[in-house]
Amino acid sequence: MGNKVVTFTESQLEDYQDCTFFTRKEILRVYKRYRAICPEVVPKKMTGDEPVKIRVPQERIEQLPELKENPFKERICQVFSKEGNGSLSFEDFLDLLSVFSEQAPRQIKVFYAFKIYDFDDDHHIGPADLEQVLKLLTRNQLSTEEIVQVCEKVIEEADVDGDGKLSFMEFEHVILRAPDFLGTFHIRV
Amino acid sequence: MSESERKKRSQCIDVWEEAGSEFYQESYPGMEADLEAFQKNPNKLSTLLPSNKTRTARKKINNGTMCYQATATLKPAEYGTLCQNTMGCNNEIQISLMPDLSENLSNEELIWEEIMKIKTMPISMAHKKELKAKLKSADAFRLQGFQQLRWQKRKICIYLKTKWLEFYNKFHLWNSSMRKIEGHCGAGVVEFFRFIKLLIFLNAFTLVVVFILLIFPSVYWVEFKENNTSDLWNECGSSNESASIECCSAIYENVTRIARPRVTIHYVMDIIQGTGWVETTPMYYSYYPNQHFSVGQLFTYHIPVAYVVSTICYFVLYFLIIVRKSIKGFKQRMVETQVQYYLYSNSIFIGWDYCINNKISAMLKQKAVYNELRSFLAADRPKAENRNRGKHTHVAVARLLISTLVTALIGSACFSVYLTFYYSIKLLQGEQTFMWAFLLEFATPVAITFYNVVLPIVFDVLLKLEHRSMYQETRLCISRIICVRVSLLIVLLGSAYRLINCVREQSQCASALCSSPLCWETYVGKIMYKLLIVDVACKIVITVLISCPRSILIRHFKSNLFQVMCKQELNLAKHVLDVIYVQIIVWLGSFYATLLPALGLVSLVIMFYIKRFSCIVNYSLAQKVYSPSRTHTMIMSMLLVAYALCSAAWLAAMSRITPSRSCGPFKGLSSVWMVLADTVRATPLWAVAGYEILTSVNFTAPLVVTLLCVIYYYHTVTGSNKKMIAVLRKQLVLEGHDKQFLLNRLSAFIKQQDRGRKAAENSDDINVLIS
Repeated sequence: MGNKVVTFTESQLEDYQDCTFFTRKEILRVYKRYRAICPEVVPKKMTGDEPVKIRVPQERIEQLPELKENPFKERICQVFSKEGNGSLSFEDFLDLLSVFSEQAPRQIKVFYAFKIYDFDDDHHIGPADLEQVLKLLTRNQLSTEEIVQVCEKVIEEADVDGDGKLSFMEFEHVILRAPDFLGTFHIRV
Repeated sequence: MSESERKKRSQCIDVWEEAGSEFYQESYPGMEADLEAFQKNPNKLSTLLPSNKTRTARKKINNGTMCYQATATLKPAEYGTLCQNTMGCNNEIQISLMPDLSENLSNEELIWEEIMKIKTMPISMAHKKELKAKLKSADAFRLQGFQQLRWQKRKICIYLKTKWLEFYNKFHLWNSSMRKIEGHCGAGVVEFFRFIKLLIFLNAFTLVVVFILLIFPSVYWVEFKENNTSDLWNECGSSNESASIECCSAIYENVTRIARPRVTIHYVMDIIQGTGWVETTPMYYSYYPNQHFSVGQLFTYHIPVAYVVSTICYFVLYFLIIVRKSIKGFKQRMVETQVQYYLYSNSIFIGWDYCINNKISAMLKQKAVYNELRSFLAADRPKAENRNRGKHTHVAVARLLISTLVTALIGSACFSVYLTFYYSIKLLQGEQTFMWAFLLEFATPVAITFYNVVLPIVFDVLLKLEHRSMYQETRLCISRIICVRVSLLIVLLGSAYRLINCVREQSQCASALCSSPLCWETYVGKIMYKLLIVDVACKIVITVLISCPRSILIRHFKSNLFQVMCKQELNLAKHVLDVIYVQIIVWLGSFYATLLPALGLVSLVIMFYIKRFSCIVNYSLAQKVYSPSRTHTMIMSMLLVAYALCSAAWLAAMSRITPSRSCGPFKGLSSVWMVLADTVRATPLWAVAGYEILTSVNFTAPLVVTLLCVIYYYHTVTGSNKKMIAVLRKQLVLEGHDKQFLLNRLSAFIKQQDRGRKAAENSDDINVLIS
């Protein structure tokens, strides 16, 4: 064995295995990626409370190749960040990748998808949220009236209780019907 | 519930009498506590609605107090069923409002299950760890005896399963390639590459079956037990039994021996052509003897039977795997029948592939989503009224003309292939130079491949003139290409059939009238071999010499001329057709050229790299939104149709066409099917009796009737389920309206009450002031 630097204690690894969808190897791989983003901040030993205390700022996380081209990268960082300012600790990062991994079931992915698309955090996806989603998705190429039309159509399709915005139930109802959701809503690390 | 209801009733009785039948009761936990709260602030009423419960639940959890109760389920939740998902979420959220009852956990197994379920809860890591620590430290009774064993068994099963998955995932072929493709083109295109992988594995399995069942025994017989038949050759020329099986085989063997090459270049050319020395290898049908030999005292191994059985074996395997994959896809499509109601939602919420990590692909994907949204909007806009009749008929006439032109083109291509085939055979009869003979051999495959490449380009141009909608265009394009390929194959096989089925004199081994080959099966095998080689070579040449420079030109020269000329917009369906075409050739030819699956495997590997190259370098596939499930369904349905056609062709050939007299394991029989019939006759009496019972009318007729009844029953059930879905959907909408109405009435009532109270207070104040 020699002078191998122990990154995590056994109990930490066990905890992470039970709390995420990753195996040990994958957890260590995630750690390597995390360290590679910001090697000067992330230490080699994470046996104490470094996984919680040490945070990598949002700009550095967004440079990850998997997130770089994602139009929702800011929102993803904000959703998973415990402090809400977009900076991720190792545990937040692990959580993020676990939700986006292939083994995660639909239920949890739908929940986080809803949170990501809910820009103003009012637990509803309203027309303002939809506008933001469209702008990010099409890079501002749609004209204003087209955006309004599309938002109206979406609300028309998915809103069942008539309050003009999508609640979690309605969003879930739409998403669970689509078989492609699991295929597109994953990030491989 | 009744107490709170009585309270509510007593306070608001006049309003609800007014509502009457429109009133809908729901039970909301925590009614009394909230009732006072919303009397002060009417807007708090909306917190009672189920859709808002998520907010209160999250707030409670995030405030640090964990309220979690063990659910009573004994099995870990299955995430396949939809209703369980939605109910699970509901349960979780409502349960989280209840007091902590973790003292109920009394069982090791239950605790362990709850720990397993932690990872599926949508809370932050810190809370998960807290929860796990709490569960672990909770008091629990140890399990005894049988229950303990059962639980241990479950744990071991799950552990082994995860270990096996880890191990299996290490051996995924081309894992990094798939990830790169996914990053470039999205998840839909990856389905296509997974399909190529599937075909490669199926071909490999075919090879294994053929090796074990057929090649080893045949090689054993040919190498170790060969009797010398070379003396027969001398007798055959003179006797009047010159058309017997033995003589014919001797003649054929002599011919192939003569054709053995002497110079090294001939070896290579023979490999490319599939003739000469390759004919004496196990590659072709003619290698296999129609002998049987005994394996010790156990049984006799009949090579002809093994030949047929191995073919049936791998055809059945293909069928099982294709059907299994298709069923998974069709099941999803059944659920997806409501996708037409959620066009916009799906394309916005699920339109983005989160795995794309390439800048240009991301741009193209955004453009694709934008185009999709615009096309939806355009389709929804009311049709322009001012489309004049003249333009309408003009377009219809153009379409008719183009359809006729397309049919004429396909017809002339078929005819020219037929002529090429006929004349190349005729010319090959005479003496030719080596190069000229080589060219003639390849004339037909080259002609077929030429039409396969050129005609789709012509059709594309014609399609632009037809002014069809995008969806119709793609469909029409693909169906035209399928027509071209299938008709050319039919012409080829038909000409070969004409050659085989020629009238044969009694004293001839093979028909001299049409100068048919001595061993027509090898001849067909050779045709398929050459066709495969030419097809793959053509694809390599096109990709390297044409697509590559085009993409380089597009990237480096930004002038409009180049952009227009060199812009490549390839369709995923066309790529799929290319791969399926290779597999069709392998299927059609593998009975006659037994090692053709090996060649097919190599060509599929080459195709994988070619397609990967086109995807990554040319960016052409990133321009459309391909949904993984729809791609999967399209691929599987095309494959299924191709398989059905090929197996039908093979069955027809097997039962109708007489095998050749000079070669192969079936010489002398009237059809290949006879081998199986003879074997069946030789089986023991009880098997035959059983078989006769199963196929007798007394058995099959009631079976068919029962099956029809079962099908009818399921059909009725599906119909009624569909109606039920429509009814429930309407009811959902009505409930929504009800809720809205209730909210409005209640908030109006509360405002009224407030005003009344304020007025009363004001009047009290005034009274106090006055008094």
